Amino acid sequence: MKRGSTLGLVLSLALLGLGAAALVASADLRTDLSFVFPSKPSPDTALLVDKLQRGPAAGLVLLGVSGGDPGELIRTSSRFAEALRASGRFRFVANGRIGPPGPELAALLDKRYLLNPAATPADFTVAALRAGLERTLQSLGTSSGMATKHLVPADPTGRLSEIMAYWAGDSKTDRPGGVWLSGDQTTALLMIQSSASAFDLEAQKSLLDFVRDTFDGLAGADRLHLTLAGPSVFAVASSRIIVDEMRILTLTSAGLVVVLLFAAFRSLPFLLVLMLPLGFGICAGAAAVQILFGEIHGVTLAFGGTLIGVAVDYPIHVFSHAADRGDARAALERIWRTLRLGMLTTVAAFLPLTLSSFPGLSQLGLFAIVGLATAALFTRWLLPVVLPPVAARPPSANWGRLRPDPGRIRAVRLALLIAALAGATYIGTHRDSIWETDLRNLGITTAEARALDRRLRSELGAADVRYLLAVRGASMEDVLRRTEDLTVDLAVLTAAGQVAGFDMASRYLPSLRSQQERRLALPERDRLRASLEEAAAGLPFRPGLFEPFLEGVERSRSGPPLTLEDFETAGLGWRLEPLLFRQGGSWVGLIVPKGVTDAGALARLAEARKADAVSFLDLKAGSESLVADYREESLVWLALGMAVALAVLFLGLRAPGRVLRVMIPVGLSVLLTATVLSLSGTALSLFHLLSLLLVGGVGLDYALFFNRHAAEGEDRLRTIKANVFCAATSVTVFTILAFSRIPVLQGIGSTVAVGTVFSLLLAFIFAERGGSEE
Amino acid sequence: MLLSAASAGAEEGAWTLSHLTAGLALESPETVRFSEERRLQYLTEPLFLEGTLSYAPPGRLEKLVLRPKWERMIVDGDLLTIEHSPKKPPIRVLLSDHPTLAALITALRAVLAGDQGALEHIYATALEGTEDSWLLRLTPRSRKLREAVSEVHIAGSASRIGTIEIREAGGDRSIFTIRGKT
Repeated sequence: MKRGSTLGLVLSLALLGLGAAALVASADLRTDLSFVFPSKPSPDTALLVDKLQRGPAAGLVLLGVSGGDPGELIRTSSRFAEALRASGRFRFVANGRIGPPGPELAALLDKRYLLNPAATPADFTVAALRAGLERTLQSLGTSSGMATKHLVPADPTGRLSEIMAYWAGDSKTDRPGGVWLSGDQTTALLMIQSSASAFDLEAQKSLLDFVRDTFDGLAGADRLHLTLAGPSVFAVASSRIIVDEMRILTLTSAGLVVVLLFAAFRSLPFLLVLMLPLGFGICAGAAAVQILFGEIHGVTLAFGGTLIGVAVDYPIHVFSHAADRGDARAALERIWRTLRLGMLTTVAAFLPLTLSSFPGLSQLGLFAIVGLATAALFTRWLLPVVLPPVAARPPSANWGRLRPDPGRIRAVRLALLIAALAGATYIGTHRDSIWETDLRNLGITTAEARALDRRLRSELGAADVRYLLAVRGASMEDVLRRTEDLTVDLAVLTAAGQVAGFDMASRYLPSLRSQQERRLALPERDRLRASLEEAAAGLPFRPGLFEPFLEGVERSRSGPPLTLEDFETAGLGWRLEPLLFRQGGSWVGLIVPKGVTDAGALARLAEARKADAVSFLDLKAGSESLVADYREESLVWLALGMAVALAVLFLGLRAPGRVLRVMIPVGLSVLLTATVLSLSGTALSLFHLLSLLLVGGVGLDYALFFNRHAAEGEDRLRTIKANVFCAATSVTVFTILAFSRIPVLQGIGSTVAVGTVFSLLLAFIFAERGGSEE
Repeated sequence: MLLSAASAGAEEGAWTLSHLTAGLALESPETVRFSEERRLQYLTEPLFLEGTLSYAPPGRLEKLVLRPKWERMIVDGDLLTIEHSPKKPPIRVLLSDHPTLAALITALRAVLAGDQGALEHIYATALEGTEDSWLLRLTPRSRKLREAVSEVHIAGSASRIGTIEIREAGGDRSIFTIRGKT
């Protein structure tokens, strides 16, 4: 027996290790917000989800360098940008450095009269040309004019700088202000975009590591501080934080639990087998999700693992009841019915969740069901094999003193009932304000990371957008024309002060239709030559100097049109990418309003232009309604889960009175926990709801054990001891979780820690024995 | 004539580049007025600029153009600041991002600081004339730099710089005439 159990233990541990390794190797872990997104969204919802997930500037990484005087920052920014550019691993690296436009701009320069602002015949009158030439002459008398003087023959009227100014608008990133510094001069700002896909987490991770290493390699960088922000940074940091926190939290709580349980049971083999049911449960749950869904979300793994944490209680119950009356087998004979009923009831509660239209929820449901069933089956059939014959000391008689005072028990129960009723009333009357509405708080990024992102964005003038107009079309040209057709309407809004301005793809890339109109406005070569000669009369420009200008206008007039590829070639693709893209089989153009004071006007405009496939998106309201949908649906599934669980419980106990005795403490604990959380100012999210489900499951086990028929005498002491240590274990683990930096884990931790205390106390106070003694 | 001046210098053993730079070296801040004549290939007439040049040891240079258009350029260490108007925020860049400008500024700074080593590091030097009327020709050592600036001529008398002429490879020339202290 002894050898058999040792072998079994070693085999189990090895198997668990293998299972975990296989899981790590094969699982597709997702760490984005997709957890809370519906699986079959409408096109507008899909767009919303995409914008929420990746932000308006997808794939951009914002870098901040701080901790030095402005000179040091500018120096480092320049060297940093230089080193990053030299690596060739980025589509662009921008830090505000000015210099003559490089050859990459040639394609745009050639077609500059097709770009915005629209060229009109008025731009080519003698007077207009004369004004342009005089400006150019004046700029040759300055230092910066000397730096760009090679552009004079091709662009004597300064058309290029006119375009740059038009594009820049009020965005700081385009203002020729030298190296970008934050408003308070404490941070140098850089912007990079990698050539790697924003979704390839490994590639992004290696790029970000490269960025950090490059920075550390710069002279003097050891005194400065580098911060990174952006969607890919979040994704990488989240997965890193999850791994880090999991390690720290797991080690800390495992350490504490081991100390606690060793002090209680004084058995080393017991400690070794303690985690086996849970471990196998997690592996089985994760494997089931990976197989059925093809991927597993980080939240499912993190949350699912804790959700079935109740499985640690199984061996504690077995061990407590084994003692000197026999081995684990005998103990299981006695408590298996109770254990099984608890497990089945919990599984029943999770069952409806698997039907959710949100893949995250169905993943969790599946994970919990498979995980719990596996853990229970392991406990029933394999635990006796791997657990050596145990002879734990009988529990000290002191446990028996833990007995409700018969005289006061009624009063206490009544008080608890009233408190729970008051709590229910409070939650009922505040039901609109107790919920978490910010979708991003449901993610796994930390609050600091999001604050940093906001700061860098606003410094770079790429502030978070809330409202968007989406224009759909069959082709890119279609979308560009439609957005151009909105120009007048948009100008009306701007003039009325309802919106400060707009950004959209057609600002940069005019439709072919507009380009054609502009071509018609361009004078033919001989006429332009004549006007130019007249304009230059009396100015000291060398005759024949502007031949490249004449040729350039001619090329704009008769050459190929401007395309998206020209922007890609010029390294400006990043500017258009977030504003013009494919979605499914059609094209989408986004119009991004700035400084919105009247969102209703935008909504009305979209409504009026509905026939032109214009729609209005409010990211905040959209995300709030997504969260609300998510919550509403979850509540339905949870309610259904409760009903199924009750049915199972009824089947198991077969007596309404007993069901009631078990369910009253469970229901009250859940209510009181929810009340305490709300009163403490916590905005309740879906994760709190699911945690309450866990509280219910834990409480159910306590209540079932306290209400066992056989629980008398020493068995009762064992039950009390087992329940107390189960609760102590849970409280320890979840209190530590409450210190996590990840909002989701923190929410789960505090909910379950509080809930476990309530569950134990209430299960004890409402236990059959306490009542029957009166 | 040149030959005789050179041999005269050699005979006396007195007039060399080290003497010149030692004589020019400034130990306290100084501001002078200047006028600049820009002869550009694009133009049939030169452009004229006026303003002040200031130097503060060891490495701060300021060029303030007052006419025809206000502009201020400050070089401090390796930081270049350009202001187009006293009201607008300045443009700040790193000097080493603009090698041509960096080379010119290094030349000027080396001359004003009396740093012969720094000067000869970037330029091949040739000193002509006498102590009373000297001409220092600087030719960039690197070919890349020569593609932008072919020569810098600094001329003067004793420890006073009279003119600085920058000859660009494309044929454009800038001639600074130092008008004396403000």
